[in-house]
Amino acid sequence: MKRLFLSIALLASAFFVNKVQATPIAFNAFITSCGTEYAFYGTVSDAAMAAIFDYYEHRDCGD
Amino acid sequence: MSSKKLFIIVCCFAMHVSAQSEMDTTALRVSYVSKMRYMEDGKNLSDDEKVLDIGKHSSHFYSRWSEHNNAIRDSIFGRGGNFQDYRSELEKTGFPDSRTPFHVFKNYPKKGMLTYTDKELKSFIYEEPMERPDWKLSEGDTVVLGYHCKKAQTTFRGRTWNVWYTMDIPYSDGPWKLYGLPGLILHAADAKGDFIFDCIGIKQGNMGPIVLRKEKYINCTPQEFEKNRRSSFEDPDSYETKMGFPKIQGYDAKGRPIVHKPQVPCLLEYVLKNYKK
Repeated sequence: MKRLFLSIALLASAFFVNKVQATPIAFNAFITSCGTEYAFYGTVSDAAMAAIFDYYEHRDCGD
Repeated sequence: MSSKKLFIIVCCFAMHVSAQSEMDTTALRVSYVSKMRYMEDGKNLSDDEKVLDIGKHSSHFYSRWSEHNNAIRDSIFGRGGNFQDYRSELEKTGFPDSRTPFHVFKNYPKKGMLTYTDKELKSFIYEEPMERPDWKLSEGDTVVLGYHCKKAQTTFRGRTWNVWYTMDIPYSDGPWKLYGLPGLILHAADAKGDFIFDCIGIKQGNMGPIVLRKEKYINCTPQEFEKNRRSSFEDPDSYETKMGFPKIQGYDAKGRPIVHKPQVPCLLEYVLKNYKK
């Protein structure tokens, strides 16, 4: 009985942890034309993503 | 229809006509190839194609490459496309990336005022009174694109410029913030070799309105913009988060985390005091 209770508790906690982990946090990544890669978590618009891309493209590539 | 309603309609129509008459249209389009240094210690100059649209009472100087790519972006996002769609369309039909996507509107929004917009992650805008460079007319002449040109020199906001202008095209205008000669500037280069504008084409005709692109701008002063740009080059990652974007991590081609070295931007003008020119 004790073992059954423990199993149920473990299952419940695993379910709870999984629920928490499954909370969607957008992962974004891009590669510039000179091969540098950028990654971040967060929700940004596509226009903002384009602005961030241009920013690091200018910084890393060219000179 | 009541007289009150009729009055409102007539007022709206009058305002519409008035707004239309204030809008300037391009009568002369001058194209330049430009070479510009991006960072003070940068080895190479960045290429771009610039355009000077001259109207009846104002002008607009901008990057043709940047405007073309902006049009692609607006079109893709406007029909619900995402960042990847935009990137793949740019690879197919885009121009090379412009590192100097600034706009200079002279006599805009009104005579004697200059409107400047530029990007430093976000779009910035300022207005300032137009400052006519103090030109010294020099000996010497040459021919650019078949036009007879005369030489002039000025020191303007920390840079010495040597230009060729033609009196055959009687517009007192030129690339970037340069103007005030008795003819159009067809070639301009700064004495340090950081910036060069070379005219490659001139077209006449009605080529659309001279109008500021509608977007979300951050209002600033020329001094604030320079300060912002300097801090962005000093520490791009801190600047990025300061502008309200999520913290980002970069990796080089070998997978090592990128640490951006502090850089100094190569500026067309120096408006902040206490900075070495």
